[in-house]
Amino acid sequence: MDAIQAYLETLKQGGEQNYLNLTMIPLLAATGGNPII
Amino acid sequence: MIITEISSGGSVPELKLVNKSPDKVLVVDGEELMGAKQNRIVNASFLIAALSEIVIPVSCVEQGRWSYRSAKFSSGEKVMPPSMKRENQRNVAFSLERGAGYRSDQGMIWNEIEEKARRMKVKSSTGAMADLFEDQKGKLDDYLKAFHLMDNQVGALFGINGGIVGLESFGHWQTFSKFFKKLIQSYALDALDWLEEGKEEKEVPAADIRRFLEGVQNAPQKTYPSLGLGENIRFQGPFVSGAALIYNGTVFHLSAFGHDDKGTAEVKVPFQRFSQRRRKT
Repeated sequence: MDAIQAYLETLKQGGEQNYLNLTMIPLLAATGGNPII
Repeated sequence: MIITEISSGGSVPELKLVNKSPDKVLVVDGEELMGAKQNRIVNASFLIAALSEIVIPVSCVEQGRWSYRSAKFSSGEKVMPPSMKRENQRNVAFSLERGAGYRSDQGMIWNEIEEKARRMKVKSSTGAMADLFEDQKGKLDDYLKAFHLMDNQVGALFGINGGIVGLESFGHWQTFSKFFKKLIQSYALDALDWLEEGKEEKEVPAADIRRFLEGVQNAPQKTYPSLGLGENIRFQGPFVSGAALIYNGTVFHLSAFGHDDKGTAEVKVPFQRFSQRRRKT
């Protein structure tokens, strides 16, 4: 399994948020991941 | 982190980045850098090693200025709108394929800014992308107020007019939280550009979300060395394209954009319009 596939499979979707014609579907990590900056 | 022109004379497609911190620093594809001789955006995501110096590839997003406004760049609090970033990513991918590095199509970017300004009736004395955001600030603030971060949120899928437009996701929630407002404004600018009466509050079908994510996972990939740490993956499938920065097998930043008439029907018109215009020129 490549890195992108493995990464996406760890994510869960949050509830859809909308305003006018823009929609955001949050992508949530099971854990916070590794801090970068 | 200090970002400057590469010399006093400057060079449009390159900037010097000095990381004086003991930590790695992430610069993100499409992130705006303001000041110096003209505003730029970064051509790809790069992870910069601690205590290091690097020349980063950038594109101009302010065609009408080539004079110093400041010695150093500052973060512009903006990210290139997805309609432009998608095309820029594809042009950079084409450049990488030809062995020409992380080069963009500068003319395409200027054209896209000019066309967007014309459609949105924005006047800018220097042709600055930043002026598109400034002009729409009140409306963009309304979009900003309507969206909120969730716990452990590392990314988001974005839809406009009921169709999936793009995905932006990071390796850690803290990183995403730093870009959250910038990304909302970036997608909101395209949403305002494409706002159609009667299309408000249209939900994105679950099947389209699934199809988009599967498209990202199944798209053929090509891997290139990054200019900083890690490697840069470019992928191009039948209806999605995108890029990812990978370091030690971990995704640090992933972005993807849709581009077909299935599942992204609502954004087909503007994208078609752009490609038709390019074919004519």
